[in-house]
Amino acid sequence: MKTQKKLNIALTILVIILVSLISFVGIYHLDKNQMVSSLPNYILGTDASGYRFITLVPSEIQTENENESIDLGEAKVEDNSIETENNIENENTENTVEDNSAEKENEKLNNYKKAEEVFRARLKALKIDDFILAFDNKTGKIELSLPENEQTDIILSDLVQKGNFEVSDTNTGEVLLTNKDVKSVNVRATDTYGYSIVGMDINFNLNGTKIFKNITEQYNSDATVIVNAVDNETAEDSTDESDNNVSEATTEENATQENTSEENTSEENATDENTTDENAVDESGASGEEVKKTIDLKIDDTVMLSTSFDEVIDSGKLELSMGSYVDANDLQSALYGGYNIAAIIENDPLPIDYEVTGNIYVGGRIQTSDINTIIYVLIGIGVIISIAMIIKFKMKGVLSTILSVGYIAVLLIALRYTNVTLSLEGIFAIGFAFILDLGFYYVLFEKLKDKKLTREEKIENYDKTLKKYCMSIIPLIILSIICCFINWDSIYSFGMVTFWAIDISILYNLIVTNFIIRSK
Amino acid sequence: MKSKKILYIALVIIFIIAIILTATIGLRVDLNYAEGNTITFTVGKSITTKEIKEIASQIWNSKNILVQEVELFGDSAIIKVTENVTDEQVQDLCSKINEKYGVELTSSSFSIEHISNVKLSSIIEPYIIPFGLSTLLIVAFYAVRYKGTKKMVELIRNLIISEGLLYSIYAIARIPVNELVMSIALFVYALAVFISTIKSEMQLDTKSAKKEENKPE
Repeated sequence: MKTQKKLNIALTILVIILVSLISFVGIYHLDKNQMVSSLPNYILGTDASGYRFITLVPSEIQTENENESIDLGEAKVEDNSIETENNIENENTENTVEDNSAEKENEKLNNYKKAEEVFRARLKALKIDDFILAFDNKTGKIELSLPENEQTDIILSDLVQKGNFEVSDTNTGEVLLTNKDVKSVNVRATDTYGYSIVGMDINFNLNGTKIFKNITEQYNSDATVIVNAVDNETAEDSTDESDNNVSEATTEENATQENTSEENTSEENATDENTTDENAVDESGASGEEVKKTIDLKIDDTVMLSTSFDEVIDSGKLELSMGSYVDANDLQSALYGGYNIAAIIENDPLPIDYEVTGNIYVGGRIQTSDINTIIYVLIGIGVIISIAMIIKFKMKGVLSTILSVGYIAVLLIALRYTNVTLSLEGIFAIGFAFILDLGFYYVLFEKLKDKKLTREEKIENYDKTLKKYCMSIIPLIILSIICCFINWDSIYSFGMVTFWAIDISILYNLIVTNFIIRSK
Repeated sequence: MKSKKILYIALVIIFIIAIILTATIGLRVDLNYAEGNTITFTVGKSITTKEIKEIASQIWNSKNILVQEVELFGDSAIIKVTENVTDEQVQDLCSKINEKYGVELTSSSFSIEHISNVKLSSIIEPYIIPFGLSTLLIVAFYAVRYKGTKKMVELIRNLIISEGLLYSIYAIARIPVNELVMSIALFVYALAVFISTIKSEMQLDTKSAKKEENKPE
């Protein structure tokens, strides 16, 4: 009876050693005269694998403008001092100069601070939580560390855009809506018969919704307006800037409407309330041209779209189509581009211009040697706990250590196959998993230390302990699930590793430990 | 009971000292997050961060040097130092690299930039939601599982003590705050939760066993 149990334990230990060898050393095969690991490699997080380091500085143009304005300010002050030379003493003038420059300096610093907030808000809107931003409030310089992935370059392409979003009248240029009227922007992809349509929903706030409703009433598809020759040229210019088909169609319609007689146009203008636009009236009495009344959606004076509306929209939502895509990569790029525009529109514009002066890929902050040190420290802690277990439970302590090592080996194989990103937090979670499993064995062997226990009593105690263990790890399951939903590489890694550690721990104890305890 | 009281008083004193130190001189920050200067350069030959660190250590204080690889070609590096970088130091670095790798770099091949410090709050910020939400849900689980507030209070007390001690060690021992700090905080948090729960489960077990014993036959 006892021999059978010993054999079972020996067999289990052999299997554990085999699994541990596979996990810690690996399995290799010959591929093109090279030994290649058959197991998938670990995926390292940003802190170990590297990140993009970007330097953003207020642009020179802005600096020049500032210099100019400061010069102008000084010049004005100089003029003032000449004018007041006869009346006021020089000391007073100096004070004014100081006040002006102090005010300007203050405004400049406020702009830097505001710009930093805008950058943070844009990155958060892009759901990039995993960034580190260092800000110099004296120079406005920003150093940004971003995780390196396929989205990084797309983010950078638009990050320093000033971001003045405007909905304006195509013909008059009157600004109707700005960033301040936008509540949120959603970008979506809809699958339709083998291709995907990317759309953008601009949701306006209360004030924006009211204005937008008025716009959809006034700028309906039938509405036209009379513009004089100069205005029309401007309208055409702005239409040319847009790449959109809608604006091209508008231009074509304008061309066909050129044949319309002046009288008819004048009559229509008089009867249709929608077309009575003061700016469109030809003040000189010269002949005007009838064009469709449309609005332009602009970012930093670049027209994204010119359109009119078929119906009145009172939901406060402007739905835009951004194109259709068949290829998955093109679709992904379009979505990333859409997210960029959304992040710009739903946040305030930058108060000053910024430019990217540095953009380099930097290797991980944590070197391989540092990771090795952390692993050795964790192993050291594990060894100390294991020695304590061996002292307390003798042979059972040795068994618990072997079982725990086997558990970590299985966990590491699972982490390789499940493509879990391993950041520092993830490595710590592996160490925690070892302690977690040893905790189970501590409680189990504490209950089994009485030598008089029968096999049935041992099994009963094992079942009870496993049940208690499962109850004890519920809070950790809560913690791991919450961490899995966080968009920060390190926290996500901790959550994923803990989640797998808990799952595998239960399964491992149900299979391996159960087998040893139930052995006759 | 008396020893527990003494322990709590000692803990409170430690926490107060840590808070005072943080408020007056602040926490010590690792080079990664500290203000400093970077020197970026491309050698044009295969280099390792270890070799560059050795060279840089001869010029600057070795404790305050951070060397990282730049780009993926293995021939560029970035050195970060807390001190001001002088022209002489750059010239020295240049000649040492030229000598080591047999290249002909000039001072203009080295780009020097001032780097601002990273606010510690921005490092802690992402952890607030997971920590807060987890604590809230775990406390709710405690309320259901262990019925009453006693265990809940115990859990919160254990979490405050464990995390507070970690913070105090960093503040008083002047250990530099680096990438490891939040990993350790998460580790300590998970450990405190696990130990508190397993302890509560054992107590629940003993309690129900006692109840069984006291039951009239």
